[in-house]
Amino acid sequence: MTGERVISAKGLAKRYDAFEAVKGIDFEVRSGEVFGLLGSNGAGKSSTMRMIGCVSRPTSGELRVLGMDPVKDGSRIRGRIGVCPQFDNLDPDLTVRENLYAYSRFFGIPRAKGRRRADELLEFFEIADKAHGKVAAMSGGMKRRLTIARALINNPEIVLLDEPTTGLDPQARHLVWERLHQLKRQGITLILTTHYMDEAEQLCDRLVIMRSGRFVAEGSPASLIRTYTQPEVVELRFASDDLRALAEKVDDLGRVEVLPDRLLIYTDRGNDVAARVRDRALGPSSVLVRRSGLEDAFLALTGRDAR
Amino acid sequence: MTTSSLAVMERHLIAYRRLWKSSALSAVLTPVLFMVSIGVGVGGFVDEVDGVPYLAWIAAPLLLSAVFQQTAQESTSRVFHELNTTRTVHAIVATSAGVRDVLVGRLLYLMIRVQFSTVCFLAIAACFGAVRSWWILAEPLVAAAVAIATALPLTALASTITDDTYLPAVSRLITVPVVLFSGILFPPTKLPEWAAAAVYASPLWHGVDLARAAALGQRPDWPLWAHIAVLGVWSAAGYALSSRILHRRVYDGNS
Ligand SMILES: Nc1ncnc2c1ncn2[C@@H]1O[C@H](COP(=O)(O)OP(=O)(O)OP(=O)(O)O)[C@@H](O)[C@H]1O
Ligand SMILES: [Mg+2]
Repeated sequence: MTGERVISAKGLAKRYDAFEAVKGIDFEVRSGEVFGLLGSNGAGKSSTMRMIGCVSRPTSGELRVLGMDPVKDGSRIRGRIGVCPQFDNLDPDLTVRENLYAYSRFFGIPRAKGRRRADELLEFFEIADKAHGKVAAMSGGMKRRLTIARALINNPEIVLLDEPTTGLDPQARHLVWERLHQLKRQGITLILTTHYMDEAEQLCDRLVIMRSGRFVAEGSPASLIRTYTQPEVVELRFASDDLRALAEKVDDLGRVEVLPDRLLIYTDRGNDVAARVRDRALGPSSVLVRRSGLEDAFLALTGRDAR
Repeated sequence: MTTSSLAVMERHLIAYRRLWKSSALSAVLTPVLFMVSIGVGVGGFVDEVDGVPYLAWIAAPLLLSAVFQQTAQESTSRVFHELNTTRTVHAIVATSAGVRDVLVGRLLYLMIRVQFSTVCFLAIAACFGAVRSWWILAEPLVAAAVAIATALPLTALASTITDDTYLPAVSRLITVPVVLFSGILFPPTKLPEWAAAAVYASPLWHGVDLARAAALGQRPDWPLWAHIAVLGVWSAAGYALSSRILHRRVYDGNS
């Protein structure tokens, strides 16, 4: 399924003035892979994406994309990758279709081919009915789809997707997921950041979790869940606001995660733990036992209590 | 010039297609109105300058002033919005096109607009007897040189601005004074020496002197090589600066 190395980074770091946003990360991505970058707000995901996309110069470390150096061969690399930035920067003076067409020209694509490709992509993301409208008249989710479509205009070998589905309704997200699966089947390498754990679980072959500019875990979604959480979770909600005090009363039952609105207890035996919580008469407003997922691994690795 | 620069020009032309009628009309009509009102009105008091009717003396320079203002608009507030509001420059430089294509593409687009208004205006000015020499054929070149020497330095300046409250200041402190004091309605020799020195530094004055000389078939006040040198320095410095500033802004220094 995976082929040769298309991206490699060693000790890659990015500093903005005095602030170090990325603090020396090492990774490799192989062709055909879907590689995910997860992490809390400000963890350094977009900074990493921008360095890979050759629009931000690494402060130190080594980065190779498609065998080339982004600092020296930026233009050539950019010609072979597609970028969906976190924030849309569509052209408001052009129509929807013209946005795609004009973008194709920046890659040196001939006019007729650019028009054809624009029409294909409008169909592919189901926004063809908006083709001749203004960008400003589109909803936020449609603009997002147009930005993703634009990232594919040059038939890129690698596509960088920085929170591609933020702001999409459930149908549109499923549409985008399905389209991304199609790209993956064509052997295109995808690098994805997202705050949706179900999205990461569905799409990524391998992912890393970033925290304050560093990688804190790496692996397939299943292996991260296995390594960093217990199989089951008991979710407790209370009428009371003082969840920290309540957490102390159940912390012998397993590892406890305190969220703003609930407590999570990680365990092998969810039903047992739930029964023992009830015995303690703490008066939870609800008790729910469920299987743990990627979100639980994420919380364990990035939560306040993580090292 | 690369195909990517042409692609950037194409982008500007596609956007311009929707507003060219009103925009081109005002680009031609504004200098014509000035020419008629000031040329006829003020001309009634002034009668002749250097043996030339006042209207003919200001006509070609008024065109240059319109070229300057058109170019300044495109290079200040438009550049600012493309960098800070719509961020379309960031979108362009994430492709094979780079900072150079952003700069050159916009210049090519400006050339097309400037040449169009130049030809239309001169045709009208000729009807008023303001075109008195075959040297007028050099006028499009002069207009192009002024546009480039204006656009690049102003692009550099606009690229440093990140807060739009400074935009009106650029217009009031730079664009408007340059238009008023570039020898269009009166020669800079009428100004105190220090002010005249400032006028001689402005790219617009050099264009004005050349344009007037071409329209009237006279010798320019300054030698041709000196005009070319000043316009060349503004263009080269403007290109080097805007390219550096834009690189830092959109690529954090990448190539
Ligand atoms: N151009 C910049 N200048 C200064 N600081 C920056 C710049 N870009 C990002 N930062 C800082 O670097 C850190 C990492 O930002 P980055 O955008 O990479 O985070 P992120 O993981 O993408 O976050 P989010 O999930 O919110 O998108 C943040 O603290 C941010 O404030
Ligand atoms: Mg981000």
